[in-house]
Amino acid sequence: MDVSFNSENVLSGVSFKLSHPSAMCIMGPNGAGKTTLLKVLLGLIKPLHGLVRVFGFNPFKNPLEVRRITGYVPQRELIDPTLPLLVKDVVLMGRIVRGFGRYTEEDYKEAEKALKMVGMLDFWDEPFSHLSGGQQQRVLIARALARKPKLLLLDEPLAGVDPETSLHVAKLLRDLKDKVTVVVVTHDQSLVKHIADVVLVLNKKPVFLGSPIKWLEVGVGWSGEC
Amino acid sequence: MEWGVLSPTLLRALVTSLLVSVSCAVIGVFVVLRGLSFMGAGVAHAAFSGSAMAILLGVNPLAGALVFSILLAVVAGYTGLRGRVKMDVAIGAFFAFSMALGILFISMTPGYVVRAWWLIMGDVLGVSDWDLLFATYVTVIVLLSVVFFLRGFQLVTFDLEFALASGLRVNLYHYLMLLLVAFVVTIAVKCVGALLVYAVLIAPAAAAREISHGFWEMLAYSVAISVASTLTGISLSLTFNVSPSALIAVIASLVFLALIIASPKKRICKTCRMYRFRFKRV
Repeated sequence: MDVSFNSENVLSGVSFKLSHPSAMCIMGPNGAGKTTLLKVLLGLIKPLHGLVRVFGFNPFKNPLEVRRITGYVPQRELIDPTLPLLVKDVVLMGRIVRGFGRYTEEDYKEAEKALKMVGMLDFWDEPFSHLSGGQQQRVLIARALARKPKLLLLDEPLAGVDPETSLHVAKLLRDLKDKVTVVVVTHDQSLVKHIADVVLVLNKKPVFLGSPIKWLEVGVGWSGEC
Repeated sequence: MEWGVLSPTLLRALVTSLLVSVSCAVIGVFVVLRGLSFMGAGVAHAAFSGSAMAILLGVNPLAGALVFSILLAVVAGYTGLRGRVKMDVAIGAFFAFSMALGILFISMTPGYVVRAWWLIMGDVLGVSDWDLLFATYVTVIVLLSVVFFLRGFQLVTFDLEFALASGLRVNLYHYLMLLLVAFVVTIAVKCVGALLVYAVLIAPAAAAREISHGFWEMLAYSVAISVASTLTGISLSLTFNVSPSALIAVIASLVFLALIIASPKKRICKTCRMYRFRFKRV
C-alpha cells in the first residue's frame, strides 16, 4: 500500500501478510509512518493505492466489522491523565459499540475480566487520575481487551512507563499472542525479543520485514544500513 | 420587592433561571472537558447578533439568537473537525464578525437600544411565558439527550481517537453536542446576557472539575454550584437592587476561584509549596 497526505508520501511499498494468532512489532524513527499504518488497518486513513484486508474484511468498505474485532490502544499522551473518570469508566468505554443505551451485565463482566488480566482489578473504583503513568497504560490496555478483540493494535504502549509495567505488559502480550493477533508500534528492543514473531522496520517505506532473530543478527538500522 | 409572596414575574424568573442553570451546568461539563470553552463565548456572541437582527426585523429575538447560535456552532465545528483551520481560530474570526454585526444591527434599530442593551446584560426579571416555555423545552431536550447518548458523548469527550477506532459515529455526537451548546446558550442569553453566558456555562463545570474524581461527581457538583449561584445571585440582587445576572456570574466565578485555590487537588498550592521549597534551597 501507499499512503500520502497533501501529495507527500507518508508510506510507500508496504506489503505484508500476518497469520492469526501472531505478534508483529513495528519499529522505526519518529515520522516513519508507524501510527499511520495502524490507522490504515483500522480504516481511519485510506491508502492512495493498495489493498487492505483485516480478517477478510475491507476496513474501508466494512469499517464496523473491522473495528468490532479490533482493540486499539492509542498513544497515552493523547489522553488527558487528569480527567475526572474512574478506572471502571475507562475500561467500560471499551464495550461501547453504539453511543447510546446502558451497559449490560456482560459489559461489566468483560470489563472486570480485562482489568484482571492487566493486574488492575483492585483499582476498579479508583480515580484514573490517581494512577501512575504505568498503571494508566495498563488500564488503557484493559479497555482495548474489554472488546474481546481478535486483533490488538498498540501504539507505543511502553512509552514513558516504569520497568515493572514494561515487564508486565510484555508478559501480558506474550500470553495474549496465542489467542490474539498483536501488532505493536514500539521503540523497545526488549519487547521485540519477548513477543515478536515478525518485525517490520519502517522509514516511510519497509526497511526490514522478517523474524526478530534475523533482525537482531543483521542489525538493521532505520535507514536500512547494517 | 416583596419577599412574602412570589409575584408571577419573580416566579417565572426563578423557574427560568433554574432551568437555565441546570442545562448550562450539564452541557458545561462536556464543554469544559472537551476544551470547547471558547466555543461557548463564540456562540453567545452569535446569539447576541442574532437577537439584535431579530429585533431589527421585528421578530422574536429568541428565534434570531437560536438561528445564529446554531450557524456559528455548526460552521466552527465543521472547520474544527476538518482541521483545515483550527477551531479556536474559526471561532475567533466569527466571534468578532458576530459582535460587529450585533452592534451594526443595534445602531440601525432606533428606539430599541435599551432592549438591545438587555441582550448584553441579560434580563432575568423580564422573561416572558414564551421564554419560560422555550427554557423548559431546551432543558428537557438537554437532559434526555445526555441520558440517552451519554456513552457516546463520554467517549468522544475523553478519547476521540479511541472513539473513531471503536466505530462510533463521532460526527453525529460532535454536532449533537454543538447543537445542544447553541440551545443552552440561546436561553442563557435571555437570562444573563451575551457577555455573561460564558460565566454560567463554564464556571460551574470548571469549579466542579477541581473537586471531582469521577464523571457523575463532576456533573452533580456542576449542577449544585450552578443552581446555588443562581439562587444566591437572584436573592442578593433583590435585596441590594443590583443586576441579578452580574451577581450570578460573579458568584459562580468566585466559587471557581475559591476551588482552584482550596480544592483537594490543590494544584496551585502544590506549585506554591514547590516554589517556596526551591526558593529556600537557593
